[in-house]
Amino acid sequence: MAETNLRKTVVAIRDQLGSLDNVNAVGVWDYDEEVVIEEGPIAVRTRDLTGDSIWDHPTLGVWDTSLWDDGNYTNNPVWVRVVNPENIFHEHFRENSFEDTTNSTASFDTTNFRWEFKSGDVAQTNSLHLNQESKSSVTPKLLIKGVSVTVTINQITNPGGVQKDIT
Amino acid sequence: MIIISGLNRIRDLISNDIDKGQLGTGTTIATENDTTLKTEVASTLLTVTKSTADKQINFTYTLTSAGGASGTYTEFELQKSATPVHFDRIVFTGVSFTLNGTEDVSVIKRYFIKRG
Repeated sequence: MAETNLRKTVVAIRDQLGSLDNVNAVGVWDYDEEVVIEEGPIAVRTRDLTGDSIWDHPTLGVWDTSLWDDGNYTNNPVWVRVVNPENIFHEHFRENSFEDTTNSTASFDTTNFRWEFKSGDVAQTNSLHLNQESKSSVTPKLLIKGVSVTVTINQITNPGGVQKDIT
Repeated sequence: MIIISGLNRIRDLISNDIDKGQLGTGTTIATENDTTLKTEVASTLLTVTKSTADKQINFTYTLTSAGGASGTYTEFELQKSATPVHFDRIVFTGVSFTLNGTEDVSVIKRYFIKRG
């Protein structure tokens, strides 16, 4: 009995819909777009001003025109802290704040947003985490295409840490 | 699809909004429920310099040796100062600063705008 009723129901639905060729499926899809603001690292730097003076300076040394700190510096800023929200550092290669120009030979390409390597090149960043605290683990995530690369996580300034080479 | 010019428009709106940075001496861990620095130091509220790259904003804050107040700073925020709107708060291990001493302190920070 129940089966008979079910057949009637199916027939009724088919009659309402018509044959397949007459049925147009109209779908409305709700595409969600997400925009993320990724909070980047904070780097705190200090600059030793010892030896910097406006005294005798041809421009800055004119009486009552300049104050301490106004002019040329002998020393570069020293990075003393680097802290990342959630302890995750992302490099998007939009600018080169974290490029270590002293130790790198690879090209830190802010035009194409990537590191470009030739054979034997070395790429090194400035400290990505520097906060006088121990790290229990480090997880590097790299997109590498078609080359062999050795990654070194350097924990020289982290007593108790381990230097890790990953190929 | 939101395209790069749209993302850069969002970048510019944020960049134009934020004008100052401030240091503080609070040490509690930052959470999204924070409303301001825990212990702000009023004399360190200073204008930041800004630069933009594709989908990215960079802020630089400098406390010269002749400004601010002596102390050990442990937290930093960016804000819109007119009617204060606090954008973020981040905590770090203390950095000592001496008013009229021999060191400047500067802070750099960046935001990246991307599609999710």
